[in-house]
Amino acid sequence: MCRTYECNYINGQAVFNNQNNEEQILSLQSVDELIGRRNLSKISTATKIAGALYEKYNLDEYIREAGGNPYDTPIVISNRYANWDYVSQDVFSDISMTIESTNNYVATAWFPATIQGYLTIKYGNKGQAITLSTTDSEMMVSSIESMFNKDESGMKTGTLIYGTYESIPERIAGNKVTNIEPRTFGITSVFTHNDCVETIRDTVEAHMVKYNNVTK
Amino acid sequence: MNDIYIESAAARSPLGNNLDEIWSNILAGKSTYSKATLPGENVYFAAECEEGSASDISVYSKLYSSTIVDLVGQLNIDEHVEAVFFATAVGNLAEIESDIYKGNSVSGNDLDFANVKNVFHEIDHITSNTKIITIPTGCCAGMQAIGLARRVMDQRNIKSAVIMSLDFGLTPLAFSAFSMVNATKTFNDDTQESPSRPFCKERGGFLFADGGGALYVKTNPSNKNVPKITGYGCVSSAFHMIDICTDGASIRKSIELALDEAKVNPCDIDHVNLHASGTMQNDEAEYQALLDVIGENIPDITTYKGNHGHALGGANIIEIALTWKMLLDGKIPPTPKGIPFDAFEATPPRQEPRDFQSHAVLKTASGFSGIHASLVMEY
Repeated sequence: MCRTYECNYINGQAVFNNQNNEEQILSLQSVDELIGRRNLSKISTATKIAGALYEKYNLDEYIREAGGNPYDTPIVISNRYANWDYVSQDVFSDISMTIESTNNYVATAWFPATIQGYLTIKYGNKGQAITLSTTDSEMMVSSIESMFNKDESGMKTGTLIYGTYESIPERIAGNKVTNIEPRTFGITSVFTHNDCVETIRDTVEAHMVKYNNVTK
Repeated sequence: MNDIYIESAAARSPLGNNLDEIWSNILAGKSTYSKATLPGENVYFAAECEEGSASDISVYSKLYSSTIVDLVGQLNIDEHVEAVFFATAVGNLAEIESDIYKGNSVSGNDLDFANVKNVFHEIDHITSNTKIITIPTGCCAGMQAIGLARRVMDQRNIKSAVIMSLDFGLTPLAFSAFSMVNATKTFNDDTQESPSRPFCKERGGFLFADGGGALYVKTNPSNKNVPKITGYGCVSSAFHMIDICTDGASIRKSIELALDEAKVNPCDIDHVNLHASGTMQNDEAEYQALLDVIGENIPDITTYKGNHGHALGGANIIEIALTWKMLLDGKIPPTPKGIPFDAFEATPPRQEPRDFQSHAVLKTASGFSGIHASLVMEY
């Protein structure tokens, strides 16, 4: 049975919700503690949220309970706005200053695929992982269906992690980003092979609704 | 699962503005590189589709959208396209950086990778009914786009699609970011050769390039005598964001999955087009994977990044388009002139193009975040 966990940054706090809609508010420092100090400087906020949700709700355990293997569970990530928060204060209208300010982790932290990389490496998951950017919910549903591990008769097996993570900065290079509301949110759903396409469709809609009112 | 047939293919790279031009230069053993000069005495090796363009971001920023339109035009499509699978690493980063360096505000619409649909919707035969999805996973994105297309087309009964991978990522932020992780080299006027020397003992890291490729694919074409994708495999290494474990185990696994799906035996693979990014780690890992799966008798290989560098997400489909061309042309190109290809005995250099009939090609790729993908193309 699909379970969904959510984290929204609201007014400088992290508001978590589990599958029973039980809300818990944590400080941003507590979110950092879920990740561990070693990785903090290397990852974007969206990546941090993906990791925090995984840790807080002990998804390894739920994947096992649901009949999956956390070391071979496919991952589908939705990320449309890359990880601009990681570099937003280190880019400048002066090209030389931008080059001088680039740190060692920009090459890996900025990319949309960073989030899947973080999750697979941190949790030793060698399953197939992909990151997608689309406004087409039906294409997302089909992508998720297609990414499940299958048995010899083509039936879905195990579990699949579907996550949507964004942290859209208010400013880049000192200028306000136009036509958009700065938002930071993440949702992680764990599907099981028993979840029907209607459940997947409803869950995709619940993820995509987070983008409502992001663009002006 | 239905195979997908490649009806037409297109490419643009630093070796040419279309697939025929690039192929002709590859058959001649040509390779290319230049330099990008950025403010602050920052000069980097680069391979550009338009020489000198990366030195001026306001010029460079226009190439992303215009090349998408150009590549679809090269495919000669004369009917409605049902779906587009668009693969990239950095998307329209150059457009965004151009705004930043002009001192302008960035628009949130430009930050959205899904908004590439607006570029596609300007193209004939791609309409608001066309399903469009972006796969922004970097250097394996083109392979992942093909793997996804194969499954989603089967599931949704989509008969025709454009699969494109493209990057114009030679921007100041990208140059400096890759330079920080020693992926690229600072340009040196004394250098007489390209740093991109895959499968050579003396390698120079990867040559940062731009460009892209596109395929027009169908599940049930009227002419089935064209190359088709019959197998695909993809895994995560769970090892490192940018390093590749030289035991080649993850690459091997992706190859085994692709062969299994295609129902092709390793001994039936008669050509391999490798990722061959030009780093020692990549070479050792890919070579070991080939030894483990195919054995000592490795078939002829091609490694096009030695010719025109590494266009990040754009590279996969440039290479697949060239492989498609190779199968139809019945010729295997030489290895690039001036590159000794001396790292491994089982993968020797070729001095001249020669006639070549291939029936089952293996293609491999590896990317950031530990993605490894392989596919089988049969003809």
